Amino acid sequence: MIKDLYAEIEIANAVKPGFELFEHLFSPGNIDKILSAALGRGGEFAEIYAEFSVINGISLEEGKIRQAQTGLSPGVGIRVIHGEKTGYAYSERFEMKDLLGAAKTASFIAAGPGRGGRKAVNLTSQIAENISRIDVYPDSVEVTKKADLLWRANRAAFDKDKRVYQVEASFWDGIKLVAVANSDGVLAGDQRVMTRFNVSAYAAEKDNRQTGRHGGGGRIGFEHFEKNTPEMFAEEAVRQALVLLSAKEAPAGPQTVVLGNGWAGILLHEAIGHGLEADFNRKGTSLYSGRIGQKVASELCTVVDDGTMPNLRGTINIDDEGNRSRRKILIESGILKSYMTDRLNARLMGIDPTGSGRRESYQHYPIPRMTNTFLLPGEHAPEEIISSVKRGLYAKSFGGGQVDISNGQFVFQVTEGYMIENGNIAYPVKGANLIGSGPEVLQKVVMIGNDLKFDSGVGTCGKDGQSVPVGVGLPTCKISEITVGGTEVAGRSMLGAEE
Amino acid sequence: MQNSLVQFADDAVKEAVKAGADQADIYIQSGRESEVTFRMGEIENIKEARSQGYGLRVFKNMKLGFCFSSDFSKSGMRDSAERAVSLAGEASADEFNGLPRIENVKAHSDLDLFDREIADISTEWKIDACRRMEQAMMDYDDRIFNSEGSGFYDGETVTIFADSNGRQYNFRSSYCYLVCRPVARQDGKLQAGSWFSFKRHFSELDSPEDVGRTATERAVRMLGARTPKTGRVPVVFDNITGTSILGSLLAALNGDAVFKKASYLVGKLGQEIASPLVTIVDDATIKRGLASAPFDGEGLPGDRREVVSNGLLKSYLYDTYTARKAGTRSTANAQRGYDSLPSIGAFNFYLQEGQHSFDEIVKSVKSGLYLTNLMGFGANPVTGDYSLGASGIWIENGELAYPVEGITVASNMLTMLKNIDMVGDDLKFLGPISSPTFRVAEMTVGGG
Repeated sequence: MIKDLYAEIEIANAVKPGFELFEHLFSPGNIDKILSAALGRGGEFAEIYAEFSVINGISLEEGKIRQAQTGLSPGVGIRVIHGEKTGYAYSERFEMKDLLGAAKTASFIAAGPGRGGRKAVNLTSQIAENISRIDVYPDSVEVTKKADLLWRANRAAFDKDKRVYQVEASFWDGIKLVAVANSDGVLAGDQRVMTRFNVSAYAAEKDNRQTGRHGGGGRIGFEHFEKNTPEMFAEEAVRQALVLLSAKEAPAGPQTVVLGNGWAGILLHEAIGHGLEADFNRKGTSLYSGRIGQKVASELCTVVDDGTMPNLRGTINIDDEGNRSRRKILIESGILKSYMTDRLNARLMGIDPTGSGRRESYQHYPIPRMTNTFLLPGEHAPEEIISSVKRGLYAKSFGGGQVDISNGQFVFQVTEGYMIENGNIAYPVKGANLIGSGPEVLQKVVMIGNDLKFDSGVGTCGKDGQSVPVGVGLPTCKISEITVGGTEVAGRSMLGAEE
Repeated sequence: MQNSLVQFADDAVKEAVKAGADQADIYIQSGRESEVTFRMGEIENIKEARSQGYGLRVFKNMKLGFCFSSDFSKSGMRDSAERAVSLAGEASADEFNGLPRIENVKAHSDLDLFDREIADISTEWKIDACRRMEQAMMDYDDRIFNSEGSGFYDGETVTIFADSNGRQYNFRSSYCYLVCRPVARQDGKLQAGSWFSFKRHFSELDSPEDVGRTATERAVRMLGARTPKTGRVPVVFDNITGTSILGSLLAALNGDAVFKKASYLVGKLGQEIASPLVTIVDDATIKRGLASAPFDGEGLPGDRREVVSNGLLKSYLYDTYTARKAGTRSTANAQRGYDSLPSIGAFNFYLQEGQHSFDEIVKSVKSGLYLTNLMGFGANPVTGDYSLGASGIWIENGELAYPVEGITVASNMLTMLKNIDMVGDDLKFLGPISSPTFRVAEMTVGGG
């Protein structure tokens, strides 16, 4: 039965021991015993989530391979839902006595005596369609070949410019085999590959030291690095460090901002994405609560969350509750269309699950999360957008961002930025960040480029103490006004609040 | 349980040596965690679990390999040892690799980090505590209309360290944590607030009512927030935002970053990097301290150490490897979890308190910002530049006047540290990093 789940997927060697554990655990008899124990006090819904995850890493610094490592994290989480309440327990051991113990612990969320004569669950296996094609599983690649990538990046970074004085590189790959069975009869499985390559370059000119970083990856195989070579990663990291060496202080205050394509999509993720997660909306703590059908952004904006895009970092074949991954239009021409939801919030809100129930690991219960979030492209050439700005900031690349769901305030850090003067890119700036409120900034989107691009595969989103990989995408985009935090102030007036 | 894990630690280190390691150490964490979350009068989630894992670090021919696992079986142990040794073969030889040389060191034994009562707190009590906390939160101000959820979290961990030099230590620790997150509303605008109490011992935990009321105060005082104009003004950091600045400083004190010239504190040892009012301490030995520990991730006992003393930079933070590279001794700042190699981190890290009361500090500001919330990421450790999203209360003529949001504060760490001109007498150990109120004479505040 469990075999069927992975019919379309070639199970990687590293997680084969996990598959054997799953085969035993997910026998019909065992699933029923565990679900029965979990529902033993009257819970309405019970679920078994099993995971077997392997992670490998190797890193280089100061011209040496510093370390090579591997780790193994198997585990099973048992969840019971009763009304709006969730009971959760987990175990790293797959023995029935441990799992029955966990099921019993989770069952206590319901206070009742349990319903007698419960019928055995009739499980229907869902075959996971494999969205992301992987030719060469990273776990099957000899460690020396991964080390080669690091050596090549190291050499390329030093060769690129004499001002480079320090290079760090690392290669990480993980494979996670998951399976879910629940009392509604769902039985689903997935295998998730995650690969990540990072290069940092430090460059100096006298006392001025700057760092540039470039990373990339996703649900990709090792073959990805034939086209996306370590030299390309290294050169990009060096380029960023060198740009910063000549950067001036960023001017503070409100100004026109052009967001570069790609990773700047973090703006959507922070400014609106989190506010559209169903949990905040069901509880009424999001400023988007109850606003479906209302205009929340400029009519130029159509925002999509899509977990089905091949090889992207946020892509999942199924979510962590066994629902098929989907493409959701969140905002269409400025109108709020839908929230992203897990099973619990979908039921409580009377909407359909959107394949958005995700969790960091078996140690956590699923909550509504984004996958790959992006803005659909518009009609302008990026050059046209920049040339339309008399004076403003071109925010090409970002570090991270953060949002407060209630008041919509977000902030994000510009790692590569330039001042635009009279329609031309004038000089690089450093130390800038953007702050604003999500709804306001989306109302101020005035031009959208035709150059939608996704990030290189570096995003990790944290919420309620759980980290999950996500993707973001953005075409070049002009925002009429946004507050820039910088270190340089024009004039030195003492200030009060604006009336 | 503990005895069998101690035995496992010994056996695993021997197994690693048998598999070909010249040296090996192991770090085991085994514990229990529990979570009760509650919202608007109802339980949301109850989570209970036990979990354990170990990380095996090996050195072979001066090369470093590592494997973590939660498989405590004999075959799992053998497999981990063999993998770690085989991976070491893929790394480069490095003369600075290796275990600390044995000296006469003893782990601290009297830190009082474990409260056996915590395991006995009933689920009913926890639920009731959340209920009381939310009740206090709602009752305190009628503009509180919602909750992002409150919770009680607790847990216990046994940590075991052993190495192939025959050193072996272990300790138990516990924690309990109450958190409350009200949402206030006025004129259709929402403001969330949050407050918490985090302790090693249950008897020291603040009452649920106090946590609830403080959370409400923090939410409602932000209602009606406006955006100030951009300019340069004095900024007063509170107990929370102060810790965020200290956290940023930690990244630059990291001996590894300093050695690689990836820190703005390179070459500043012994120099004045902050105002004379600034003394910053890293202390492993605070009784019941949230970041106290009898030994670090390499089995070395930490100390009380002034890293900045009256403005002078006294010490960077080192583990064994980076200390050897830099030609100095480990400061016992190897931080470690079972699933990772040791990296440099602090114990209880705090700004020592000063002379001024909170009121004196606020009174000293004619027009400026009392900074109560920071968003975003800390300073760039290479340059010290930072720029963060912020909100807080505007100070006018020495009084807290009105809330402000949508602003950024930007500066450079060194400039900012030198511009600290008042330090409060209200140091509170709220978490692993702690700060009293302090004032920075002038910073760029970006607003409307």
